[in-house]
Amino acid sequence: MRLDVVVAASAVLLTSAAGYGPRVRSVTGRPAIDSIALEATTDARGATGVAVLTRTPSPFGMSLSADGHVMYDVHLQVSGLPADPHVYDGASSYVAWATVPDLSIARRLGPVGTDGSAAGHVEWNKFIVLVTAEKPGVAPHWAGAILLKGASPSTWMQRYQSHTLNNGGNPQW
Amino acid sequence: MRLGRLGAPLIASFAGWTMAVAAAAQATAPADTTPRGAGTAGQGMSGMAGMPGMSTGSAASGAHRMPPMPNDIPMMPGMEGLHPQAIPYIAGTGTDVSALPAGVASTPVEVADGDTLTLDARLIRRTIKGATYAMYAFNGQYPGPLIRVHQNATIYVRFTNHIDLPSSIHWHGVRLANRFDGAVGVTQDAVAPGGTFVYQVHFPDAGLYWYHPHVREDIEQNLGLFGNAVVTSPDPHYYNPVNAEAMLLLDDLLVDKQGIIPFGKDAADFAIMGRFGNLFLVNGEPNYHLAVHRGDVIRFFLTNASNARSYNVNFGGAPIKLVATDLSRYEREQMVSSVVISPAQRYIAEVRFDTPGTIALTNRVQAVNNYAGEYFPEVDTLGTITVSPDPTTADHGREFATLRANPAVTSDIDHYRPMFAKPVDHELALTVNIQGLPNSIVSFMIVDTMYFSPVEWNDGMPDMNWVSTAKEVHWIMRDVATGKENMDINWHFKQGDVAKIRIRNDATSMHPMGHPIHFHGQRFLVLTRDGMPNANLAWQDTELIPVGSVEDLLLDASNPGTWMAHCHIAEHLEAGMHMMFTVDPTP
Repeated sequence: MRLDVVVAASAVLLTSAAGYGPRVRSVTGRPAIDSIALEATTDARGATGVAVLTRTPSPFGMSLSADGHVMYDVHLQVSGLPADPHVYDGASSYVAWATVPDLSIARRLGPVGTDGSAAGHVEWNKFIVLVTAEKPGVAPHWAGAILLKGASPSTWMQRYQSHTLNNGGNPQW
Repeated sequence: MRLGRLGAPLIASFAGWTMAVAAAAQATAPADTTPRGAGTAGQGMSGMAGMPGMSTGSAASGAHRMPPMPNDIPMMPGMEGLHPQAIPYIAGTGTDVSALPAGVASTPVEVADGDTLTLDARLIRRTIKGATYAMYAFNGQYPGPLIRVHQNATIYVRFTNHIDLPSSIHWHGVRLANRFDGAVGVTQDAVAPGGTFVYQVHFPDAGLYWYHPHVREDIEQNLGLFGNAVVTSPDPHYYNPVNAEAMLLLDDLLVDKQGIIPFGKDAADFAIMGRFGNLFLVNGEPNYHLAVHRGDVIRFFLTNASNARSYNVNFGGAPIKLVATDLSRYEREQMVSSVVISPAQRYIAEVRFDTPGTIALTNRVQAVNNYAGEYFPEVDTLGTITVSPDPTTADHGREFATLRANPAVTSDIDHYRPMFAKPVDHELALTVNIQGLPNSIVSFMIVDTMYFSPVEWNDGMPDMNWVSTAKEVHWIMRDVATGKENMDINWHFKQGDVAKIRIRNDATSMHPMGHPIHFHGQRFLVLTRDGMPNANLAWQDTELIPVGSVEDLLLDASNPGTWMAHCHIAEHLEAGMHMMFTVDPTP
């Protein structure tokens, strides 16, 4: 896990037009393809984090699900959250989640440890990583406050016209 | 030279199976015989005929034709009137295709130590899904003959080039004597049309190999000049007991209603991404079919002979046990949900079919529509497997359920394990330089570069890819230490050296792409992928390096000579992505 590189790179952020939050940006201005900068919501000002994507080990190098989704292991490292999650409406823990862009499906990645780390597994084309404050129990979907959010690098892939508009040009049709 | 037999118990002889497959394919051809996307121009194609520079001539005329746009992917703005800046090439132009000999299915041939096999490359006629094409074949067979030899055999192959292009035969993955490697420009001159070259091929390693030309693979390999070689171990228990063995030689052709999309004669076209086909072939057939009994375990030998496409092969959900790859078995067998195979790679996998019925052999990927900026599930049916309700005649279920360890593999690798932690000897960066493409393409590529999938599973921008040639696109292997690029690189090793090679696939270039990197004449272990140790090793000759990834390979530099290393996307190779290394013999 090249967390050191990612953390250094996370100092340079870029806000996407899609509104998912900041991205880790590569030296070319393009988002890094293996990490996600996690942006604090208004409920967690000052918090920060990064989610690093690594290929799930596979004999083929590229780890694909049977239907062709790239399988990623997700490693989160967050900081700046209140030590006691109870401040969030009686929550007992911080939990990392992955969800698809329309939020219709959620996957619990796992609890955020006292060292700020969490890990899980994702096999979606475009996805969002969240950290929320949750009450006791293992629910299939988050219910507490969303504190950190970030979108997978693949969400940068947008309609051609959108790219043109976002880059200051006029769509060609 | 004798007609072959398979080393494992068979449902039927291989020759019989081959014929049965051909017959089944004919009998089960679907009513819709149009290849995916063939002739179905995207919406942007409308009104293109007659536009300046946009040729719509027939195959016989040899004019360029834009590849069919996949469904829902329109032509990009500004593409009107563009075509590759290369002379169009179609095999057999000017000949009466109907007068060409008809290609026939591959036939296995067992070649004993010391025997000579003749391989003649010729123009043939192939009829696929009702369309007739002029293509190439070895000995009139498509794919070429399946060569079966025993481990440590040395055979002679008399190759005669009867096609209209210079050619050669490269014995992919085989650690043979350098001068017979077939790498034109490095180990031999091309065999001119009408010329002959005799290869002495020694097979030191059991496993699955393949052969193909090593000059203009983008044309010659794509049109059918390839075949497999299966090297059998003297150990009768080298593999698990199975009910049958089957070859799965994967390929894809790019066609429209007029025929095969022309190639670039003086420079490869489709130079950005390589040529992705829309007509899928398994063992040269568009309707591969295999019949098995319930409970049968089949050992499949998979080879990817496509120019550019990586596959995610599914067996309808049947359990898959991965046994071996390029040059060896794995340290430990393991179950997988599919087989991911990039150009030039080979895998040996055993599959158990427990459920009666007909299942589809498919390629399942998440394809990209670059225009829409979205993924979409792509399922390409490669063939069918019919599982009869009749139970297997020999139940190997217990052996299939057991995941074997292979102490011989581990023991061999143990000799190299002390070198795993050695410093990196050489580091390569994979990147690209693109200059001279039309502004309309460049402007789109600039916005398209916001994200690249680790591996391109489809061609999401075939119109732009088509226009790009090796004149504008220069794929690069750069020696990080010296800054030297491609054929200016010639690393030197002593025979017996074990070298750690770090390969970094630059994600910041104009168009990064996954590259299957092949080292000739040697074998290597993949030690780490993005810093993660590879926990189950096997000897390889080709490794896919995804975009942005860093991998460490341990090269066993044991075979003397000057060799080539390169990307095995045929168009990338033609666009410069190859280098040399020399293993100096020990006195």
